[in-house]
Amino acid sequence: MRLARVMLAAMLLASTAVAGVREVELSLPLRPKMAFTGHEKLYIGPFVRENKGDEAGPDLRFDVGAEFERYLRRMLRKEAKFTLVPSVDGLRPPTTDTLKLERDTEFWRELGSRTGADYIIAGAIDFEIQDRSGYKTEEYTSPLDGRTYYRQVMVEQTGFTYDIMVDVYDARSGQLVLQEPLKDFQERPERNFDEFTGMFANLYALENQLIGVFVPRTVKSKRMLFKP
Amino acid sequence: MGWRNVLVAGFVVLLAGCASSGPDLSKARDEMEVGVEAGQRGYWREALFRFERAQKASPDDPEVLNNVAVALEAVGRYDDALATYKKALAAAPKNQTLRRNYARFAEFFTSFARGVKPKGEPNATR
Repeated sequence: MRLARVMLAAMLLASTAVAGVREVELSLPLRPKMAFTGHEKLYIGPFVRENKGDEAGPDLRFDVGAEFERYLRRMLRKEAKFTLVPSVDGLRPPTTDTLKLERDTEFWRELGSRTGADYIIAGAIDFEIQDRSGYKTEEYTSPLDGRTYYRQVMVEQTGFTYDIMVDVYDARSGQLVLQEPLKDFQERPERNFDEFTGMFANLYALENQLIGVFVPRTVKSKRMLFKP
Repeated sequence: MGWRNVLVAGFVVLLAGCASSGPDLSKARDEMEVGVEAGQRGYWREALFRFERAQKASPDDPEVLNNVAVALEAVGRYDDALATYKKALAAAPKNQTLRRNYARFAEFFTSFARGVKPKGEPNATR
């Protein structure tokens, strides 16, 4: 009887082991958000700093818009073959109201004819720094009696939120042709963490999405194949 | 001698299973095996060819349909992949592997569809 049980178990195991799955990795293309050929002339900027509600943004040691322009230029030079038109010195948008600025086709057309660009990449940035330090409940096991207790511990953290609206304008008509919102949040385990480093942590996290607006990308994705 | 009867019955059931599968299912299994090998090496056109032959032999098998869908994805025929995943899910709605594959495909396909076709390729395959 024992032998029969063993044989039956072996048969069952064999029948399940025959079928299986195999993992494979696919390289899948992602199209860009804009139908560029890759050889257009692009003008980068201006990126205006936007504040939520009536609250003034934090005083920073750097210009968020200018830093983003510099970063975007460097990234596009590295990843694509666009001709990047030099910046116009002292360019000031007619308004800081981002909604009005989006609709100001005259401003964008004029900027386009001044620079000879095909498209203008501009937008609005909201960069926030939050002191997220505070007391949090933590579970710990006492080495004296081995029991679990809860205690309040002070956790020092700084949060960085980077919210950007990338606008692409047709430089000949001044019309807005694409709007792409990108957002990232990063947390650092330190109070008063350096804001510049925090901002670049946001930008590096957004890099793949940002480049995906302009050029095609490839993503790796895993799938399962059934093997009989 | 009861255990002998049990053993004989087990073998009879196993043999009956093999016999009922017939030459078509055996062929489908062979094609699937070769297709999986090809897919693992990255020869996705060969894999698709094999899986489609397996599908001819066993048209409604969800595992075959899953493999066809994965190969269709790999060669860039995303609309066909979507239709095949749906057919496979209709045949086996609770198959976890199939559902996971479909979820990953749906995530990619949504993002892909949001992009624009490159200039000069108005009829690019989706």
